[in-house]
Order: sequence, then structure tokens, then C-alpha cells
Amino acid sequence: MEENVVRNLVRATRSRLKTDYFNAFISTTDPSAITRDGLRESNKLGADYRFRPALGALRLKGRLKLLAVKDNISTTQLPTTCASGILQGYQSPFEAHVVERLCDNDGCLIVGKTNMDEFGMGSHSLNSFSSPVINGSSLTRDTTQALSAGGSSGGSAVAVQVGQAFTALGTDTGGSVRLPAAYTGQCGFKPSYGRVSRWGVIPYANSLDTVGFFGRSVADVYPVYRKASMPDDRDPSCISSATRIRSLSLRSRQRKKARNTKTGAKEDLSELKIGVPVEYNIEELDPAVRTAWKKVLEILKEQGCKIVPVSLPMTKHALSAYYVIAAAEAMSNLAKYDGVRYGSRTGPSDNAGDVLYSETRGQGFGNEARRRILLGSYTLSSEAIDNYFLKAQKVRRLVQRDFDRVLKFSNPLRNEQQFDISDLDESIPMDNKLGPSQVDYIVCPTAPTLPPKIQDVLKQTPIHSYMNDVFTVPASLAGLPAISIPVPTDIKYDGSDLHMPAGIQLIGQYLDDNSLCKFALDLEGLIKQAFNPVDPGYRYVHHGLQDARGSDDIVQVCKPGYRPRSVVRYPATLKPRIGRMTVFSRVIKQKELENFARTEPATSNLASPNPEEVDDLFASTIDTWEQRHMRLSSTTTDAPSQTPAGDPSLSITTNDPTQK
Amino acid sequence: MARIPPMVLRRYICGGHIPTKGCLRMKTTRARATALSPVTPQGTRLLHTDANTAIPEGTVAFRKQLKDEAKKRKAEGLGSKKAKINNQVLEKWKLTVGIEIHAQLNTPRKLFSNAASTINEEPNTHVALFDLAMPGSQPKFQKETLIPAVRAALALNCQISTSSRFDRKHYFHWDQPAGYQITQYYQPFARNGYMTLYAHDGIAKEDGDEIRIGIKQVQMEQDTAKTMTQPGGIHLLDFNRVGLPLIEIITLPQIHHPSTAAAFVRKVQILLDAVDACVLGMESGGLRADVNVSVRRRDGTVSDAGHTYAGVEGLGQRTEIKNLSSFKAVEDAIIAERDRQIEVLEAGGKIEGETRGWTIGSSGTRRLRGKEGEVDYRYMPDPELGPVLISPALIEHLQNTLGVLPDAEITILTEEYGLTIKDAMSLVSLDNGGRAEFFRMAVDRIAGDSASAKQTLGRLCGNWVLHELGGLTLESGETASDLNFDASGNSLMPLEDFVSLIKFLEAGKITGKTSKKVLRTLFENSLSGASTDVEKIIEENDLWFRPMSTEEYQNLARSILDPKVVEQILKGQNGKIMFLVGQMMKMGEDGQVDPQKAREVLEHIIEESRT
Repeated sequence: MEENVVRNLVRATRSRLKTDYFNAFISTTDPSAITRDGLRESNKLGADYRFRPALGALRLKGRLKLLAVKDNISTTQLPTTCASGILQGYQSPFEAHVVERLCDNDGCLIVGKTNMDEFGMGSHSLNSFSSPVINGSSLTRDTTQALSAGGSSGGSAVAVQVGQAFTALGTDTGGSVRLPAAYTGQCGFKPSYGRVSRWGVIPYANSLDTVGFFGRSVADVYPVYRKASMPDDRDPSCISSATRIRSLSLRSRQRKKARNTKTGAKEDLSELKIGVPVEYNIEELDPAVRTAWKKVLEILKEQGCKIVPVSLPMTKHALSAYYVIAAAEAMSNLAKYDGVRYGSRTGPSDNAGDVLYSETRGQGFGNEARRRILLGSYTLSSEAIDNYFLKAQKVRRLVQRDFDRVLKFSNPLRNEQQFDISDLDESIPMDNKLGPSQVDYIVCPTAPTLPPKIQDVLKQTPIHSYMNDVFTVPASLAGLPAISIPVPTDIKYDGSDLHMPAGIQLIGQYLDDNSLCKFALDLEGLIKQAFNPVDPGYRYVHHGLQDARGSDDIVQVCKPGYRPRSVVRYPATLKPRIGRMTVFSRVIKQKELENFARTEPATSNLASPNPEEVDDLFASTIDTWEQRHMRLSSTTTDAPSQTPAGDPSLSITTNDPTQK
Repeated sequence: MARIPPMVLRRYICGGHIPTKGCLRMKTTRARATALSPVTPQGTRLLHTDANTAIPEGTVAFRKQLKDEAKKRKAEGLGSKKAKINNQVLEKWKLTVGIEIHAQLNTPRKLFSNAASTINEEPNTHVALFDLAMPGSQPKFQKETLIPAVRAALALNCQISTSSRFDRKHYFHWDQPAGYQITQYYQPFARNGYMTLYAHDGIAKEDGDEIRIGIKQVQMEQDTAKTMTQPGGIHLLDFNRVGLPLIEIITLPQIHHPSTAAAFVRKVQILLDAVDACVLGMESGGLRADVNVSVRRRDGTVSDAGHTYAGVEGLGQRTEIKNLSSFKAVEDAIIAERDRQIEVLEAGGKIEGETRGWTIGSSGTRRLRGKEGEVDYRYMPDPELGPVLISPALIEHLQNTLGVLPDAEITILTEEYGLTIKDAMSLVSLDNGGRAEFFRMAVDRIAGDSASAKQTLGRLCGNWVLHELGGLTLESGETASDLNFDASGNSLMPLEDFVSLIKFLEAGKITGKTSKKVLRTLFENSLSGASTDVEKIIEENDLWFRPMSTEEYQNLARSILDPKVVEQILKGQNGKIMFLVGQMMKMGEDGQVDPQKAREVLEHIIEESRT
């Protein structure tokens, strides 16, 4: 990298780390540890991935070394607290595999450990022992205006959003990477389950937890992911290299077969079939999100992709199943926190029962953690396991089956399945007489709405806030790779003059991460092309962030002797050259940050719900599940043919967008 | 009957597995401490201790104590046997017992981490991250643990599942760092086994010659940490033991007599030992048993007998007695609990489903926790451990290499080699079967193919291998360098030389007494590395048996003749002749005196004196 660019990068990052307005971090590295030398060293990132030509010459890729790590991923340099009271001050004696991978050999510099929902339990990063995370787009700390950053990896998303780091690690259990990425307008990638070793990642629900990646664009995320994705025999669920190779060759075989050629040449966008799940077109979908979704589909259509409606009928049960399974596993995983060997401890012992640590656990866990422990204990109890846990596991299988049926390529972990047409739900549209269409990727919204205001979130019942995960949970249950990319809209956010990007999610077949990323990379470029310039008034680019190929200005900037300003402002008329690499997300201006700092800080309302409400909430939670479960058991047996509620315009668009 | 090899005894005595309670409270009664079953009263699971233990005064004193103890036990055993016989069966009530046995597998590593499995290492020196449940650490199943586990299951005639899974069993205890134990609840690796017990295994008379006890399942699971109780209510934890691989053997409720239950547990230990699946025997804490006891009226008039377990119907309400750590404790606890239940029922009471404990030497079980205190274990399939897949080829291989099991071996030893069942059992239980192997090699070498020779030589050889070789071990004073039998019968005693010794003895070329001497020399030479050529040893020491001439006999006889005794004999006390024969044998050198011949000569002389 050019000397001055690096200097500026270092200066800007240090200053942003010092003023953590959005509570993105729980602990940060001493800013003076971020040095020019650290970034200038030959960057191993991306040196060993195959897509280099597509990514172009990443002259500024050294910035990718500024890495923020979610606080539930073990590091030996900084404490690992999971944003929980019970792990305050816990210093892990070992480093997570993913951190080892990224930081070894002059790799990434960890700028800090990011804020999150306690143990990853939440969708808005408000359930933190530290302060709640605030979306960088809020522009005010006034609680009436502050926006949710999404969760549970909200801190990581915000750190990237406001330029405190350039890539960030998160964990995705039911959407914890994709949802904050969508709310903050960043790119968030959840690889296939088992792609990245979880060794050192503190588990919330082991069968769902996945290490995920944040960046400003797919191009930023991808090299980091490639570097991190390695077989690791310390993680029993990490995919072995043999399976990786097998899935690659399977994929290539199937592709050749599908295209009836023997060459297996490079995949072209025009050959792709894109699935639009009709069940995701729900009534509650925010108009801005729907617009963004339609726009993406239109862009793909223009490129010659075939857009077909597909049906994932189990989606409506996925959320209930997810919260049963995740709570059960959480109950089990959180049983180890007793304050005996590590973590905080309250009270010497209690002699009431036989247990040494009811007090410690009672004090140490936050409300949401306690709620899920109770829920998990109930759903696994001998009286309830048949009705909840086992049913949920069955639903999980059915969700996986849904995806396998819809996706063109088979799941490398399972034998190829034949789906009998007579077994299928009547609502599933047929492609031809042979059955429903099978698609390469699924494109759907990441979240039903744009980021809500924090004050609205606090008014929600837990059940209501669980609803945020409705689109992200199915891919988690099936273990599929999914990536959320920001798509700008021209609809203004809730009466303000803000244009908030909506998150659009791309889902691929299991272990098909690389192709999915490539598709996302292509799509990112196309979106850029279609929307450029988005809103010149707001296109600020943090100095040193812009890719070399992105604009002539930057080339200028990188010339020796050029004295950079901290923020480059594009003239409204300037049309930056279109390239895949251009940073797309909206970046917060330094001035905005300063304005933000001057606003009144939040004083109240951000506290967690009253502890006394927990019992009521638990009761109502169980009630709601009871109702869901009744529906669930009836639908799994009868499989009713329900047409999804929602906006009919979308189905018209998906069927034939050209007529619109 | 299983004998405990001195090596094992030594290990736990010097290693300090002496019960805390025994040390703290019963210091004055230390001599009475059960030397042959030095187990903690609470069961080894909770109360292992290394600290505060006075190392018993010198080994010699201990051995003496062992002997005294054995004598005492024998005396007591005879006394209590009568009581037991009355105790095995009751007229009105039928007892039903199911047993769960935990045994520690013989593997170099823990079940889910590569920390070494150790027995008496310094506390907390063999602990991996996962053993301590450090956040973010993950289990790694150690495949090697499967081998002893599958061998054990095969020995118990189980069907091995080619696919099994691990589940989490949740409960809070300080010795369980993760808050759950990884076990196999839903899909154990072995099911539907059985074990046949014979009369010689010590089952109750009422069970006849043999009884088959069904085994519901065998599962693998983790051990817990060891708690070391200190004075002042302090508990120290040793995590060396946490995560060690165990198997749990669960029987069907098919045992109806207390002594059969004890025999079952004992036989399981012998069997596990024979297939080299387990680390140590019950007495040293490698094996623990929980028993489930219920009673019902024989006439079926009781309303309370509506319980079912594993398809067995009409059972009474059961209670569980946890952590029994000796065979005697199993039997006594069952009797005590049965009697307690009957007493409650006869008084019109109701049995509560509860967990109870048993202290050695006590007369009754005590309540540990009731049903309301019972933990709902919330079993959950472990979400990150994949299934354990066992290939049929491995099962087949282990089945083929399982070797001859003790039952089959006892049959062979009694039927082919003419041993008594008692001797055969002793032989089999010694040195991991190495002693029996040595015995069979020796007999085969001497007797060749002749079946009848095998029978007669078997008895002689059995005596020598069991008692004379055993005697060497004990008298050598250095137990660590005893015969060092390995499982295939190799030892410090060279087989060839032992065989030629027996051959000489059998041919009458040396006497029994001299051959014992030669045996000792052989052993010592073998220890010091000197020549072990039997013929040479005999030659050098001039030990060949030279029969005495009749004259010499007569001289010898005359020299010991006592007129008084002669008179008595003449009066018809013929028994006194044997006394004189004994005298003659004492006088003669090195057992040269043949008692048969001596008697003839004596009778002749006495007859002469009559006239």
C-alpha cells in the first residue's frame, strides 16, 4: 500500500476506536498497537484463494487486516466475556482456530472484541452486560431515534459500518450475522455449517453455530472467509478435507451433467436459475424491503437468469423449531458456567440444596439467557421432550428436505433423494410434468423490515422480537451457506430523509460456499451498476477504503506526495467507474460522528425488561409455543395447502418480470 | 473365587486409597479396617482421598494383618453362611433385583480428550481443556476406547450396534465440570446380552445349577472428577479422573436372590478382566455397582406391584442403592433393603421411589434423596458428536480374538485336565489367565496326547502351579519381582525346566520335598540369571532319589522305636503306626523315606516284637 494511505488508515482507525459511540466494542486493543508496519507487512490474506482474477489487484487489501472479533470467540490477547455477567474478566487460555488462522504470520490485527447479545441470544444486540449496541445509521444517541443494529453480532456489524474495522468475525446461529449485516447495510456471510472450525467459539447452540464474516462488500468478506475455512480435527463438526474434496468433485460432476457438456466451463449468470420462495413474501414485509427484492430480481432477469417461484412450505414452522432446538442446546451449553473454575462467582455457597451455584448462576445470567435456559430445560424435560424437542428435530429434517428438493445440486452429505410428486404440497408450483423447478440459488430478503427503532424493540414481547429471524432461520436449520448483501432503495426510512439499504439474502446448497460467493460478487457488481449513483448527497467514502479500481480519485490519492483529507466527498455528478470492487455500503462521515457525539446520550429505556416480567414472559412463551405446536403437529400430518399471504405483485414479478 | 493379586493390593494401599472416614474416625480400629476390601464407605465415586492417610506400617505387618483378616473372614464367613442361607429366600415375598455396573475401561486416553488416563498420578496433572469444560473447547472421541468396550460387550454376549450415539445427561455437581455427563442413553453401542451363572459361581441354591441373567444394554460414558474430602468441610477436586472412559452394564430385573446378585457382579469382574477390558477390580475402585431392589408378594395380592421395567411387568416399586463397591456390600445391601421394604409394606406403608445409600458394616440402607429430589436428567443427543460407527469387520475381528472366556476355560480345565472346579477357578483368576496358560502348556508338554495322562498329570501340575509357584511368589519377599506372568503364560519360571522337574518328580527320580527345593533354586537362578538346567541342579546338589535298602529301613525303624508306642500298637491302636512312619520320614534325609515301604518295615518289626 502507499505510505500515505496507510498512515491515514492507521490514524482514522485509532481515532475511531477511541470514540466508540455506538458501543460496538466490549474491549479494544490499545490503539497504539495498530501500526503502519502491521498493515504494510506482506498480506497473506487472499494469497491462497482461487478467485484472484475476479477480485482484481487488491492494492489496498492490507486494510482487511483490521479485524474485529465477536466477544464469544476466544482470543488470548483480550478477555472473552460473551457479553455476559457470568464470564466477566474471563481470559481464555487458548485461541480460537479461526483467530489463529487469520492472525498467524503477520495476518490480521485484532482491533477489539465486539459487543453482542449475551451468548448470542437476541436479535438486536441489546441483551448485553455491557451497553446496548446502536446502529451507526442512527445519527443520534437519543433513544427515540436510535436504531437497532440487529443481533446478535451487532457490534461486529457496527464496527465495520463506522470504520473501526474492515472485516469482522461474528457467529451465526439463527441469523446473527446476516440480520445485523442487513440492518447496518454491510455484507454478512454465514458459510455452511462446519466450513469454519468452531474450536474456541463459545457455543450457544452447537448444531447451529457457525462462524460468520462481515465486510463492506462481498469482495472484502470472501478472502477472509477463504483464509479461515480450513479443516480442523479439534472440532468434531468441522468438515474434513476429504469431504470438502468430495463435495467439489460432486458439484463439478453435477454441473457438467446439468449442462450436458464435458467441459465444465465457467458458470455464466445467464445459465442460472434463481428461486424466489413464495412463502417469504409475507404480509408484514416492509415496502422498502420488497422493492429491493424486486429490484434484485429484475437485475438478474436482465442478465438472463431464469427467475422461478419455488416453495419452501416448512418455513412457517422453522422459527418455532429453531427456538426449541436452540434453547435446548443453550440450556445444555450454559450448564458449565458455575463460577467454580472460571468466570464470576456470587456468594460462597448455598446450603439450601445440594447445589453450590444457584446464586452464581442466578446473578450471572441476563434475562434472555435465563429465559432460554428455562425454556430449554422445559422442552427437554421428560414430560415435554416428545412434544417439543423431538418434534422440532423432525421439523428441522423437513426444512432440510425442502431445500434439497428446491436446489438443483444435491446435498453432498446425503444420498440423492427422489421426491415423489404425489408427496408434495399442492401449493408447490410445477415447472413441468416432471416436477417443480430446481434452482441454483435462492434469493430472498434477510429481514422482513429495515432496522427498527430501539424503543420499538423494547416494547416488543420476546416472541415478537424472535420474528425478526423468520427468514434467516431456515438456512441455519439446514446448515446452508447464506450471504446478506445490502441493496439500496429509494424509499425513505420512516419519515426521515434517510435511505436505508435493505438486506437481500442469497442461499446456496450445502458446501457450495464458493459458488455462492462468486454469484454474490457478480450480483454486487450488477447492483452497483444499476443504482449508481445512489444518493450523491450521502456517498461518503472513508479515506483509504475505496478500492483502487473504484475511482480515479483514489488513484490520485494514492500517488506519493498527495496530502489526503480524512473524507473524500464525491461530487454529485461524478459517476465512479463501475467495477466489482466498489464499496457499496453507506459509510458514516466523520462530521456525522461528531454530531452524534454531541447529542444527548441515552439515559433510560435501554435497560433490559423488568426481571419480574420474566416469569410472565416465560409462561406466555410456553403458551405461544403450545399454540404453534398444535398447528405444527396438525400441519406436519395433513400438509394443508395454504397460499402464502402477501403482496400479489411480487408473484407477478417473479413469474414474468418483463410484463411489469 | 477371584483372588486379588498382591500387585493390585499394593498399588492401592501405597497409593493411598484408604477411606477418609476410616482414617479420621476409626483410627483406633485401624487394624480392623477391611484389608481385603478397603473401599470407602460412601463408595469410591464420591470419596476418594489421597491425603491424610497414614501409610500402613511395613509390608510384613500388613501381610500378617491380611492373614489374620482372612482367618477372621473365614471364621465369620462360616458363621454368617448359615444366616445367609436363611436369608436368600423368603416365603411370602419375592425379591427382584436389577444391577448397573460401572467399570473403567483399560485405555491409554480419556474418552473425549487425549489426556492420559492415569490412576495414581499427582492430582490435576492429566487434564485437557475439554475435561475442564473450558468455554469453546470441544470433545474429540478417542477411537481406541472402542476396543476394550466392544470386547467387554462381546464377552457379555451382547449385540453390537454398528451405529450408536452419545447423549448428554444433565445434572449439577461439582465433580461434573460441564454440567452434563456424556453417555449413551438413546442408542447404546451394545444391547441384548446375557450372562450365565453356574452353581460354582456362588449363586443361591434356589437358582439351581445355572441361571441366565439378561443384559439390557452396555453403554460408554464419562467418569466424574474425584473429590477429596479435607477436614473442615473442604473438598478438593482432582480432575485427573474426569472424562475417563467407563462402560455401564445394565441388567434386566431377573435376579431374585442376594447371593446371585453378588455372584453376578463378581463374575462380571472376572469376565472383564479376562478380556482385558477393565483397569482394576471392584475392590480398588475400578468397578462400582448400583442395585435396584423391589419386592412383591408371592401370592400377588399386593396392589403396589404394577411397575414395569424393560418389558418385565408386575414389579413392586423399586428403590436404587447407589455406589456399592464390594461384592459383600452388594449382597448385604440388597438383604437390608429387602427387609426394610418388607417391613414397611407389612406395616401397611408404601415404598417410595428413592435413591438410597449403604455404608459397609451398617445394618440398613439410608435415604439419600427422594423422588421429589430426583433430577430430571433432560437427556439430549449431543449436538456436536457424530455417531460412532463400528464396522462389522472390527466386531468380527474382536470376536475372533476374544480368546477363551473363563467359563469355557473352567470347563476345559475340569474336564480335560482333571482339576477341581475350585482349583480351576483359582487358576483362571490369577495373573490375567497367564497362570492357567502356563499350566496348560506344562501339562501338554508332559502328557502329550494321552487324555488319561492329562487327567492325572493335571492334578499334580495344578497343585504345583497353584500352590508351589504361588508359594515362591509370597516367600521371595519382593513382590514386585514375582513370577511376572503375562497373559500368554510367559514368566520368570522357564517352562522347559519346570516341565523337566515335574517329569523327574513324576518318574520318582526325585522326591516331592527335593523337587520343591529345586523349584526354589530354579526361581532364584532365573532371577539372578544363572543356569536353570534342572538336571544340572539336581546333579550338583546330589539330590537324586536313592531308594534305601531294607536294611537301612530296619535300622532307621529300630532307632525310633519307642517301647511304649509299640505296646500301644500291640494293644490294637493301629493308628500309632502312622505316627512312627512320620518319625521315620522326619529322620530320613530329604524325603528319601517312602512311607509305604517304611510302614511295611515297621509292621514287620512290630510283629516280630509281639512274638
